[in-house]
Amino acid sequence: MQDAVRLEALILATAGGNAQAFRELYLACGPHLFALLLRMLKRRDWAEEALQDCLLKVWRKSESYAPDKGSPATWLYTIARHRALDMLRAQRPEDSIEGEDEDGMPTRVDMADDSENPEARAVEREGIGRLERCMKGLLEPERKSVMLAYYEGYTHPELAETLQAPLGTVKSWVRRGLGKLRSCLEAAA
Amino acid sequence: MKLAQPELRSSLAAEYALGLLTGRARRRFEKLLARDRDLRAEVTFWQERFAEIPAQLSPVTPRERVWTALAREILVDDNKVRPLRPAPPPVPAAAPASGNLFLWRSWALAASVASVVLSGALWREMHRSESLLLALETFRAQPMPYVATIQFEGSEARWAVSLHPEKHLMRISLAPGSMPVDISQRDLELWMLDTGGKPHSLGVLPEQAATGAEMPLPDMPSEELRHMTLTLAVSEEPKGGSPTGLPTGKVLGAMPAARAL
Repeated sequence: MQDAVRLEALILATAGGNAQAFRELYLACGPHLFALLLRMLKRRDWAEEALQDCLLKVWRKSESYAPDKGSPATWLYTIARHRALDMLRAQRPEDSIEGEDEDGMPTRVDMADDSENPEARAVEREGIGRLERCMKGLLEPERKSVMLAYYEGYTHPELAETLQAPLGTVKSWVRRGLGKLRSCLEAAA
Repeated sequence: MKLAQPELRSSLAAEYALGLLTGRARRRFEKLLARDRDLRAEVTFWQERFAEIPAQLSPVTPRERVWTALAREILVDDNKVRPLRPAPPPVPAAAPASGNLFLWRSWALAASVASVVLSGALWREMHRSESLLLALETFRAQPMPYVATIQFEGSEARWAVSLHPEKHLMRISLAPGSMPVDISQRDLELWMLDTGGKPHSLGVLPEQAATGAEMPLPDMPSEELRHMTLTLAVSEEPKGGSPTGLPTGKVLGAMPAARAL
């Protein structure tokens, strides 16, 4: 996305009710948010609906953006991703939202369409820069787990189902993967 | 939940940022978050890192219908006036004496700085793409506001100001941060400089974080409103605003406000 200073100025002006700034913000971030939404929702009409929803939220809630709490791009991506996750989860069975019961027993998750192969999509393009370099240090199942959680919003039991591994194994992949990422990111900082 | 180990704290923060914590685990974590600033910082750290994942996707331009729908929505949003703190009405003041020479010089300087910035803004306006203008034109139900962002060197607070002369209303949002003056002692007053360089008070800038606070906008000289840009300036004044209706304190800066197209 564009440089943080410009995005921040546009968000602040949008918070002031400036429709022109909002239009510029839309032009600056829309295509990036749309790429994420398309990637997550796979359907153009859904992605467009989600983009409209999340930008309307930006227009009405731009005052909730706090420059000290993170970069404007992260704020925008987070709003878009949450909107997409809401839509994805609304399509999944009710019990998969909670994911697991208190004892960590997986709830049954039906994959709507195995041919969709979300796993392959999730690993096709990852971030570059620091995160990507660090991702390379992860074992394949660790990396897949993180990417599937990010793009598909999968919970632990859903990851177990997709990756066809026991829940405990998946949980430790995630935990170990994130631990390695943290060490690597710290070393790179 | 015991969260003394840094590794566990970090992993849980990452899992939370990814959305992997669900149900009771998520609720417990959120309770911890509410009272643990370092944990919140850790979540922010991960959110920033995870935002690098989609940042590498190739941008895809959405169809125009998305903007069309958005433009329709934002135009029907409410626009209610909530009077806040207008500056006091001007008290007839004596013509500026020679003692005020420094003050007037600083206004002249402020105005000339603003005009340089202004020409840049105008250039950008003129080169804006036509399709964008058309898109906005389609949905423009009323004259667009003049907009400006106000921030002073060496301080963090930033105001987003939009002036709606036709509605006699201005909206001001403040992104908080350090202030350019001691706000327990002084107020910041917003002025419009007319083409003759004369300041017209618009009111006192809010000093509390607020969003879209709406204030009545005093009448502005109608001939000024024919211009696509106005020049704003800010001076520091006694609490409550200038007692004379003209600036009495130091000019902190001037900035252009362009009519949003």
